[in-house]
Amino acid sequence: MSCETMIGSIVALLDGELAGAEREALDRHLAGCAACRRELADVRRTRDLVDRSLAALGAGVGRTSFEQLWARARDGETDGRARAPAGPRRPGRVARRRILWAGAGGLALAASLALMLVGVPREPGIEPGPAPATKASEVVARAPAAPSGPKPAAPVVVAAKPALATERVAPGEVRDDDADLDDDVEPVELAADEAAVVANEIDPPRELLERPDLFLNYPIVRKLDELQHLESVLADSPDPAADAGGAG
Amino acid sequence: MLRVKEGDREAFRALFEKHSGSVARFAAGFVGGAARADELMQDVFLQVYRARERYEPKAKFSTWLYTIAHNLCLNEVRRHDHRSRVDLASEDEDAPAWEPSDPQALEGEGYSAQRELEGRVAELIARLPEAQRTALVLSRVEELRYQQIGEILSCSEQAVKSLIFRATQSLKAGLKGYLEDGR
Repeated sequence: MSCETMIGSIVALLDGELAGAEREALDRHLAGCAACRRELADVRRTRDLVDRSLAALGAGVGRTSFEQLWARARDGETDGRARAPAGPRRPGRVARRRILWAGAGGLALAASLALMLVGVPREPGIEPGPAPATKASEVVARAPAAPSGPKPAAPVVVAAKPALATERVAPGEVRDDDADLDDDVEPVELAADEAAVVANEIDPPRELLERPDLFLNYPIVRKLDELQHLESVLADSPDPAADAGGAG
Repeated sequence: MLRVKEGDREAFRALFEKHSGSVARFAAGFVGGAARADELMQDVFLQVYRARERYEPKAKFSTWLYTIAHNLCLNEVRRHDHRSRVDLASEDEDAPAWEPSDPQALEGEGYSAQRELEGRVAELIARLPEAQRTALVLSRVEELRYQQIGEILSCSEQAVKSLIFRATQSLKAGLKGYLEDGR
């Protein structure tokens, strides 16, 4: 087993998540690899520091009484500001967006009808065409074509992609979330960006997390592995000065 | 929780008293401070209360609870652009690793040096990508198993293992100076 393979399991070992053959393989490797034993020691010290820091952060919390919480819960239900407990649920973010654009489509239809009634002249040779191509993530309400009969065409509304799908939040961008709590509290998933993943600025995509053989090839790990392997090789190499002293 | 669903106030109190501290500590670890943690914890339990009629016992209550806490904390940091407020060091790979201001004081564990080190670690945790931060904090603060963390993050145990590994490697790299001094 190579160091590259073993290093990925060292944290799981400390978390008690390794068992059976995997645990035995790591134990055997550690018995014979000074570099990985140093890695284990460094990871252990890092985790101790993390535990102390998190304990310090959490030391000042937990001052809310149940009565305070209950008062907020009852206020939210009695004055109806936060939500309507009875009746239809408030639509989620995607549904609200669809409603908004459906409303915009209705306005466009009304505007077109008004133009038709007023009889706005058209330039000869210019036919009403489809709306410009839009990005898949955008929602458009297309104005109906010039009606040739008594019934106007219904507006075409392209629904927005669900908020969970690959919607990128740019660095520094603050999302315009509703201040009140939504029933469908769902975070937006970030689009994968290889450079940012390599720099560990964002999480790797899920498919990569499920493939440790690929995951461990990302430079952040490879550099550490190479450094430790080099240290191990140097530590095990014979002393060149001792060899030179014995040369004839 | 099923009793809360039926409107049992005392059952809700029991849940609050059992889990509020853990949720608040998770929030503090995730957003990097205690100031907002209590409010976030309240928001989590308010959400639990408001969603009580839709609760179904498909998994452990704590899994559902931490899923809500995770999402609310994510919204919190994204709303306030949390990362931009942390005094980030350069992301340049060639930048020197952090060195403690007084290594001997750290070895002797003087109070202010200890606070400096804890602050540095908190800063590094705040810089972690979100899923890694969640997995790490749940693992260290609440000592949740990888399987449960995976249920909260909607990923496999293998993915959780990878997330925690990557988070640990990032933190280790950020504390390189301190770790080397201690060898």
